[in-house]
Amino acid sequence: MSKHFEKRKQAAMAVNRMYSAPTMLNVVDSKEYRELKLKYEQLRQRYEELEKIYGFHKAVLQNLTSGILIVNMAGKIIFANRSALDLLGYEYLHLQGKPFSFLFADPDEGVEFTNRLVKEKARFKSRETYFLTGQKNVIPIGLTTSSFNEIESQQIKGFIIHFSDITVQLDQRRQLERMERLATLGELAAGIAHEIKNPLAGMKAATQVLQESFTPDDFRSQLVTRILREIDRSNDLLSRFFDFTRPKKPVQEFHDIEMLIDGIYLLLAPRLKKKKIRFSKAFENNLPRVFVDASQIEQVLMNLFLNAVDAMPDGGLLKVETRIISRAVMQEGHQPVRAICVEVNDTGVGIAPENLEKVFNPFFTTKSSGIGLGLSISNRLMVENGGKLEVESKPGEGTTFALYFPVIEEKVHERAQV
Amino acid sequence: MIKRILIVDDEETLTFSLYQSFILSKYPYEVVTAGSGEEALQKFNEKPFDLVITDIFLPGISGLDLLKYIREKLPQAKVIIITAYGSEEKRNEAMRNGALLYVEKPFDIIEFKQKVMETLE
Repeated sequence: MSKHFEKRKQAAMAVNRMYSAPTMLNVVDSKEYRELKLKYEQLRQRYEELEKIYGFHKAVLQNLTSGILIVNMAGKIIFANRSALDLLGYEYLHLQGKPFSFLFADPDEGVEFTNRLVKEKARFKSRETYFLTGQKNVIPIGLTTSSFNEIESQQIKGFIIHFSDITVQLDQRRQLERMERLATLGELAAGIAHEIKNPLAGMKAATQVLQESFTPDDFRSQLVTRILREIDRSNDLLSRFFDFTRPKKPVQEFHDIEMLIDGIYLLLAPRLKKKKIRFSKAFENNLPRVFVDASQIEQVLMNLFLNAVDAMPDGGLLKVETRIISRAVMQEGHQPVRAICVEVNDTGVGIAPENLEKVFNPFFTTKSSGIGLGLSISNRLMVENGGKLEVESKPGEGTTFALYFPVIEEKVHERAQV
Repeated sequence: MIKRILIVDDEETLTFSLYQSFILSKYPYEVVTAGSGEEALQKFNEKPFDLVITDIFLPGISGLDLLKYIREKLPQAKVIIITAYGSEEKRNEAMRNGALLYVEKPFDIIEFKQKVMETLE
């Protein structure tokens, strides 16, 4: 863009020089000079107006927060605004003249998309896809296309692609879906738990009546006692399952997240040692305290630690890091706040990409023992405590769970009371 | 006078067991069972009871409605609520409407009988 501006400036200077020439020749008073001078003034004014209009349009395009790309009829990129370059992590020179398909994370999709756009003149609205940035990151994109017509002839010259990074929206949608899946499960579980409690109540009453009819040394009394014990055990399981799927409302207070992590580590240290798992922690200094229900967050940490242990049957390294981040990671509707991030990283078997989102599904498990509720519940607990839970994994290398807690300002008097 | 107990639940195993348990107790209770709220109302209106033990979820009118009806009609009658769908709200609603006890299923029938006897004797 600056090149363009430079050219115009040079042209303007050339015009200026040309029309200023007579001054040097001392023909100040001649008629020709006055006419030329007038023309020059008109031209200069027109030029300034055009510059203004150009600047206005340029500012509009460049200041849009959406990315704007224009491709010609050959599917080649002929324009990119500032936001597009920022989002994609390219300089304009790298994009200029490149086929549009080159931006797609999936090259085949890129070719197909560009063909449909250019050859069939197809329109796309709120289409979701993935672009590959200059830094080789894959980012989710929402895009809408429109044709790029010449103003006067209305002849189609290419296509405008109007796009934005939809990472946040996708995150929110995913969170919502996770919550919905669990809510459905919670209702189902509650229904089943209660339906089973009714017959259990009957069984227990009948068995106790029977028990009373035997003398304690009768072997039948011992059998009946065993039945009662099993009934109580079933009921206990149901109650626990019920509490598990319908956690209590968090009672939030300010806590030192490092203390919570250390507490869980101390509980699990013998197990880690037995499984030949080393533990390392890297805590950022002076982290603000998190505003959470301690027992619920301990449950989340416990789940993540135990998963990490299970992922490393041959030993490995369990690493916990805390840091503060300023990225807008929280839910929509809330101000983008700073967040405290806790990463729980293992060097275990990892999670296959196709299972990565499924790990939050209730009853999804790849373990032979385990009912597949841990992460589903953990996710719910994090959301109920105002945070969120994310996962990244590479099969064969390990898995990282990231917990995000919003930083909440503690009032001075509250601090003083503690 | 012999105390009269009405047990209301659609779980027959439970009503039958409770019935047997009370019959076998050291006091000569008169025990009647009902499988629905309507049946309970009918039996209560025929001849009142000293104690009504009722589930909440019943075919027809609910145990909580039964509780309200009985407490209004005969304030000296005692009502115990038993339920498998326990919650704080249900407990509060039951106690607010004058229930003597709120017991979650399954429960220990021996302890339960003990409480009933303390109440009635």
